[in-house]
Amino acid sequence: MAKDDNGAEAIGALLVLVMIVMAVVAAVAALMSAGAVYGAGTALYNYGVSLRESIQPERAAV
Amino acid sequence: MSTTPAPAPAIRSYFFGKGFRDLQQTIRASWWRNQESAQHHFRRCGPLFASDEWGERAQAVVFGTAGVSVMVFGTAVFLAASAVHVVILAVLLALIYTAFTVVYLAERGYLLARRFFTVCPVCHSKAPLPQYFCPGCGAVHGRLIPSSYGILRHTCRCGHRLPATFFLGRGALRSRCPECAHALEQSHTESRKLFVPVTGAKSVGKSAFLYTALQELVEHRAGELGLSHRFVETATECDFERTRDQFARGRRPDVTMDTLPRALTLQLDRPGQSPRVLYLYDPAGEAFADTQGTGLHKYQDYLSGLVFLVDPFAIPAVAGEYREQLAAHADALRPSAVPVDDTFARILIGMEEFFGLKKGGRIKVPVAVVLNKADAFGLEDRVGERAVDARMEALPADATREAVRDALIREQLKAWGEGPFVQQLETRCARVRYFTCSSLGRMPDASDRAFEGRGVLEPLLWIIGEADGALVGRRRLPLLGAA
Repeated sequence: MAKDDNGAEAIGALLVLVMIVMAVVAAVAALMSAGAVYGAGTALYNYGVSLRESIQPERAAV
Repeated sequence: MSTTPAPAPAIRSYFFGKGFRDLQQTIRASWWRNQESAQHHFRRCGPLFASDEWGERAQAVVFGTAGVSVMVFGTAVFLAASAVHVVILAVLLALIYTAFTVVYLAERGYLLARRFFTVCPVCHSKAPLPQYFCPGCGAVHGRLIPSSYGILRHTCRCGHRLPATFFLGRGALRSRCPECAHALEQSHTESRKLFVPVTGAKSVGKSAFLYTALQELVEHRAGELGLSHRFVETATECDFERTRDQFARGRRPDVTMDTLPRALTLQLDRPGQSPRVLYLYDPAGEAFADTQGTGLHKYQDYLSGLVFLVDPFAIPAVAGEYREQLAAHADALRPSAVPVDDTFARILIGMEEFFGLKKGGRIKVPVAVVLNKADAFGLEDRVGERAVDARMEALPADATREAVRDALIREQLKAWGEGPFVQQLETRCARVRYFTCSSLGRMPDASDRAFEGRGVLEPLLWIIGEADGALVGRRRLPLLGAA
């Protein structure tokens, strides 16, 4: 009976460990995604600003 | 020496110049902005990471990660955005390039089909198009065609929009010759053209022939042929009016001094046909004194036909035969002193040296050989229209007047010892016809009786008919005195 209890505890602990690892992985993935979105967004914003400032049609002398 | 054409005084299409400068600037600015964003995060990260508090350290991790993210993902997005920008520009450039090439080729094809090109009446340069002036600021646009400056219109640097194709009325703009900058009219470009020089030695009567022919055409025959006319240039009209006045008062036209003549240009219109412009050239006889003189006559490169005027009194046999009469009327008749075959040989040599005629090759355009001064001393009865009438009476009814006239004049030239000249003519010219005329109609004297030329227009109309049958038709034209 005691032997069965020890097995169940071990399985429970393993499950908890797996869940913690999964949560950490998910958190890291979420952080990485957020980082990617942030980096990409910043670059897009920078490109847009540069575009707006650089593009001006050539005008005739008046 | 650079062969790159000078830039036009117009604003180039955005996609052919500034678009790529803007792209370069955008890419450079965007890259530095990304670097600046990343550095900004790293600068905030440093002091926080050195802190003893875990909260601040956590913030440092967030800022550091953000900096790395901007470096890594930002660079990837920057590269992708730059690529998309390049592709969009390239696609639009290709579309515009294709569009203006199609419009340009369509226009070139149309102008070629209608045989429109530019010929300057002063320097005789031939070009596809003239240079056009901007109506706003007067800037000269050398290549006002569909191009990177605009598919249908160019925008001048002053802001004025100029039509860049024939189809949008480009011809209405003021223009000039690309070679000599002489002001050109629309008809110098947008018309079919006929180029006919009147050649011959000094004193054969070229100017009198030309102006009399022009007068006959303008005052009588154009209307009879169903053509309306107008002088393309005021200068031609003034010369014509002045010479007509001189003829009306029994005075000879002024002696031509220019060895490189200015063309007399006359527009002829037939309803339903493209306008035609007749370019007539009256070079001074001195131009044929040597072959170098004819080298400047660039119109020989695109001739429609040639009038070769002969003074019969320059032929030694005729001069000998009429020695006494000539001595009495030398001032009035002014016989040419240059042998006929010498002048013709110089024309041939000039064409061989400067205008691509092969040695011994044939002139393909029609050549009208015209014996002038046929009114003098009864020559009319020997070789003129009266002689043709007389010979026709003795021939079968199906004999054509043109063939009889040709045969009569050929025979007479040979009888006068000009057989080698006739042989050279017929060997070197693919289409020859012989004519006689009297440019003034009578011997000049002190009276003020008007000159009335005879037979001057027929050679010209024959050439026009051969070169452009649709204008006057290749039909046999009634000849003066043939009635």
